[in-house]
Amino acid sequence: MGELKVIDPGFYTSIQDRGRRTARQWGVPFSGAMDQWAMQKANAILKNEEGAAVVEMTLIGGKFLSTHTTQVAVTGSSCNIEINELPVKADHILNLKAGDLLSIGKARSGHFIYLGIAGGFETELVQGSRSQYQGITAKAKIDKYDVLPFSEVDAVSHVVSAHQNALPSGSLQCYPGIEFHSLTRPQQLALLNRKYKISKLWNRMAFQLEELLEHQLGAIESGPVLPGTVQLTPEGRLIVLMRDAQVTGGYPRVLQLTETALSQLSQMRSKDSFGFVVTG
Amino acid sequence: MQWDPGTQQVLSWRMAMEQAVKSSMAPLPIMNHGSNAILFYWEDQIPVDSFIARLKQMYEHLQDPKHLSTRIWELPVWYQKDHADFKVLQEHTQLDSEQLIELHSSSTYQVDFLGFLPGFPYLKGLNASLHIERKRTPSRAVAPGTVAIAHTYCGIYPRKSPGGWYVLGQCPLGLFDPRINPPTIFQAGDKIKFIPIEKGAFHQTYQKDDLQEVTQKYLQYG
Repeated sequence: MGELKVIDPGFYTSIQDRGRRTARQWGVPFSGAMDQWAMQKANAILKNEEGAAVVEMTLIGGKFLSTHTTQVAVTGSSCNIEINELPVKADHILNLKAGDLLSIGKARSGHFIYLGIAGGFETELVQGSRSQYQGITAKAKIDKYDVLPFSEVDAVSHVVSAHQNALPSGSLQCYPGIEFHSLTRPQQLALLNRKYKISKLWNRMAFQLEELLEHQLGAIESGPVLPGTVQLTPEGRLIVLMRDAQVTGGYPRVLQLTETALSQLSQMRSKDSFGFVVTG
Repeated sequence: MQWDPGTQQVLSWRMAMEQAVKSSMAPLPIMNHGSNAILFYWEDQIPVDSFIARLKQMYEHLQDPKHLSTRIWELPVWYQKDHADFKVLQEHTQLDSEQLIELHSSSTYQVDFLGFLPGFPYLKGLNASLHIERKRTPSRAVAPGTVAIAHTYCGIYPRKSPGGWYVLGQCPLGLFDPRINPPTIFQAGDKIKFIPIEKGAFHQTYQKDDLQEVTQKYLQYG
């Protein structure tokens, strides 16, 4: 078993995978990588299983020291990457030897940077997932001096070329939410025809949008919500629930983003504008 | 699947529907309850229309669920008469402390759904004179096991958390353990009775038992 030692975790860094699916009935959020597409890309480059656990870094990358020979890949938001202070490429297999220092810089676009490792990280598995979440895993996030175990697997010998289609840009594909039809026709059109930006209030639970939508809907009885559910508050604020969202909510659910749109949104910055498109 | 507001016995229908789906749908969906809805979520691509048709058919063939058996938990609670929230509730109800404890502990509650925090049960059955809007400013930290009320619900905080509900007391039992499956003792439909205990008994039993022992000692069948 090898280990990556966390010399510097960056700003907010956690272990994530596809998320925790089966404990939802007990109020446990899905969690999982915010940009599932980028996580899967890292795993595909390393020939890992699709849902192998990765390190998710938010805005600022970390510094990691390897104790064993291994291979890693960095995906997601573009950033500077160095091994022992020499620049290396994103989206490629990177070879690490024992004692090598991997340094990941600031996110230049988007929010989330992913570090995958050959075989996946083997941190604590709780309720079918390694995704870190407060009260579920022993640690809610990665701190300085944490040690991240990984298994030693055979090296991948050739570079995998760009194998996935690019994550679509522009409009976010979605379905009408359960309360979409309670909006008036002009409100529905306004919701779908406007351009939006994300506000400064965003985290792994939810992204709040900047623009307000006038409407007359009241609160609803607390009902099930999912990552990608777009809630509309009484003040007209749109809140897109993200991976760590609670399992129920009391605001009308006007839209439901597709899985791809959810990954897309996670990497949008406040300057990026986008619209919603209802898919058939 | 959602019921119209005001539908009678929604919780019983939800429980019956959950059981029916568990016993006859494959692949099994991920499920969670809301107060008037139940979510069925399939991770993999499914033929949506035919699955919806099957769910509808299943629902039409459900037996009247009013005789569904439920589990009954008898949970000890140390009512914290000195807690600032307890005093707010006394003022709200115009009751002395013993009357307030009697009012709260004489109801039988039922788990409507779990949400907010992992293992946090929303309990129906709160006496109408205890209905109160949640606090404007949530408390920074509410202790594990705290029994609190807001809106028309009573809830139990499974772990330390910020919280905007008014605190009545604290249950000494450990109610959530993510390392165990299931991680909580509660499921939608469970009935709950609160048994008032004194501070001394609270400290003697505080977080002593694991989930299995809690189940052995405090679960009755109805």
